[in-house]
Amino acid sequence: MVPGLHVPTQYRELGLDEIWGFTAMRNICTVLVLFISFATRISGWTNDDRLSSKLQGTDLCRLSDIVNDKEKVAINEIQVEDLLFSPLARPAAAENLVTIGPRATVVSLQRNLIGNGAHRELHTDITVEYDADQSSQSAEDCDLILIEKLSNGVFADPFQLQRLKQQKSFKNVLIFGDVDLERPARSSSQSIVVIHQTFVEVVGVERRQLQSTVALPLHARYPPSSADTYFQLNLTMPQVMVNCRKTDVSSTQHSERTCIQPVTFLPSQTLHWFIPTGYPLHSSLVDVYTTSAALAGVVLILLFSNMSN
Amino acid sequence: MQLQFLSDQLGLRAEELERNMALKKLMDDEMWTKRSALMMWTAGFMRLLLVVYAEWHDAHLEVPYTDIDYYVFSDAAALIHLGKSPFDRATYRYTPLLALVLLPNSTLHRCWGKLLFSFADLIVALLIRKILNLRGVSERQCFISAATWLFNPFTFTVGTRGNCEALVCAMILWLLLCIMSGRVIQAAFWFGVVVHVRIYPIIYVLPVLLLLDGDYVKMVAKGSSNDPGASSRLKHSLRSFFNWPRVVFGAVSGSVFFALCGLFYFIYGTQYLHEALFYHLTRSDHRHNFSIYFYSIYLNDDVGLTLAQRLLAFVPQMSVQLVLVAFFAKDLPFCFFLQTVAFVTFNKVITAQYFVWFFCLLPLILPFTSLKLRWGGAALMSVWTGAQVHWLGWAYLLEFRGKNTFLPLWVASIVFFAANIVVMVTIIRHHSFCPMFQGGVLSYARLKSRRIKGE
Repeated sequence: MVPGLHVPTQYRELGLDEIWGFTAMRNICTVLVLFISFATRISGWTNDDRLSSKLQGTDLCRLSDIVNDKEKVAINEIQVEDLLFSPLARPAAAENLVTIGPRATVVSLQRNLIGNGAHRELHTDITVEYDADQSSQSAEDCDLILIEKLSNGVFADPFQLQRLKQQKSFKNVLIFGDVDLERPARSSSQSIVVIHQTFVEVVGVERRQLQSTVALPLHARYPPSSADTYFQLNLTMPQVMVNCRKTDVSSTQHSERTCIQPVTFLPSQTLHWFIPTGYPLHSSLVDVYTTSAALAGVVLILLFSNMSN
Repeated sequence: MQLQFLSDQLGLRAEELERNMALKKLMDDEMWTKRSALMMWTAGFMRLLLVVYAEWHDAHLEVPYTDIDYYVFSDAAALIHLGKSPFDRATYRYTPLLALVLLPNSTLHRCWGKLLFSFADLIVALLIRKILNLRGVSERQCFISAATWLFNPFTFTVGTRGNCEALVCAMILWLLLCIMSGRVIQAAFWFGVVVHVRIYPIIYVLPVLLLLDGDYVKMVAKGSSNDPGASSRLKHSLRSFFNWPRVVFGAVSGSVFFALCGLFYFIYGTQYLHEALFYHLTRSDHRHNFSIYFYSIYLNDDVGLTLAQRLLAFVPQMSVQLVLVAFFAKDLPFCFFLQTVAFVTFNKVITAQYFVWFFCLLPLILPFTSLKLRWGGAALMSVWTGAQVHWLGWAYLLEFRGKNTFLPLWVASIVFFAANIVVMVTIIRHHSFCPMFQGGVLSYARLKSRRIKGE
């Protein structure tokens, strides 16, 4: 653990796993946790976009170096915020290909909401082009990290996700925020789901292409009653990162270095999910007839009990 | 008269004929007892198969067979095993006793709980037989009644899915048996425990207290005398109300309840009170369920229910309980059954597992009803199941197809409520009211003689 970093205990229990003992990977996750808890304390979840704009344009490779190098820097909360929030210039996009970091390029990204009703699956299909580092003789193994931001109208079930992880549908999954399934949307808060998924190498292409599919089951909460009778829930684009591990096979000692690169894409595909709501004008009708039915029931039982005795 | 006619026809002496008939009845009883034993073994084996099937189902299919509540209990038991509070597990809203009973889930095997609940199912069937035997019901009737419990699809799925309702039902039947055998203190002890485990049995306190009257005192004192008038009226002077069984029952059950709650409050603090007690008393679920109140609660969710609205939901429930107790307290199993059905029907939240609460009492009233399966009973069952299926259709459209069917769903709740009222009213009409104690004895003799004479 990095000195000075405090991991809230409830996040530990939500599945903060160690992936094959890569301590730097764990530190990155710890930093993410810290960032999110810090952001919630400061911003109070007032603005969804603030989170995405802050994660965009951040060179977390640089962060991983700093986090690993414990002797040089004592990380505290303010410094982490500075590092994460510092904007870095990115080259402009050209047509379909969007250059994101020095190494990975998005070839295609498909988003779909599968299913009807209150329980649906969010499918993300992504193909990236990844330049193998020619300079050093090393093998690279890459993972996809997807950060989904969920509004208060929808939630992911941690137990379902743990079961899916055991069935190897994901490599790892972490949830932060409100996972309450009993309260309506009005009394609930946002949540973030972080999914680690393996990449599959695409065969038959010139440059190295990696493809991954993520299916995240989601459940809708009860929205506030409205005259529109349907509530429009928007699912925004996720934050996508590519995490590669380099193993230096040339030297006898295996040195490991992780690097997370954020991915940006245009245009944004916001998915719409329509959830039925109550109709407020029914309120008086429903109240009156419910009470009448209950009282009628009591009277009937009273009459028949009297008759039978 | 029948005997005379037969003996004239057969040329046998009346005494010989009577002896032969008694012998035949004994052999019949023995045959049905053997069949009952076989049925118990079959039911037990079937439940074991279902538990094994549940393991396979959970591992291979997407929608799990086991209820989420079972995982909640197991996790809470594991937490106790680690020395922590079971209420650290979200949505654990039960007594720590339940988590303690399920400790072997983490030490032995995760199926321990399901096997325990299935075993409790069999205990319930045994208790049904014992109670009906005490009331003088024939072995054949006992067999049919026990079968209604053991092979009811609700009961064996609820138990093998991991819901703990069978334990509560077993405790309620046991305390009923204790009351019938005059063991007041034991009945009071189990009453305190069962109210601690689930709050709803508190509704049974009124009929039990009313039943423990002068007649009961005589029965317990084993002195019987024909005193028909004095003890069967409802109006008593206040002093004669507080006879020793009532005082003992109230004192023992109250102390047991408060002792258990106090113990767990001492160990787990206010978290226990909030999660296990207050949650159930103030629970109002806005999510769709069978109750007629769900849509009201959802529509008023932003402003919250006013005091008047809360009272309006509470008054029908209280009134119907008082009405039923006033008329039927003396026939205790029947009163329990009606009260439970009424409680579930008028409640602010109704889920399918609540039905088990009255399914364990239904077998006790079956021998006393003049409803036959063909066609009165079958019609009643179809009305009740039909109303449920109708509701489930609209609920499916709402939850799995995303259609706005809130208003039809609420109407379907009213229809289900009406179906429940129809079932209650029909059962009341066809029931042979048989007070448990009359003239200081368990009054089965009268029923028996009525059966032999006319039918």
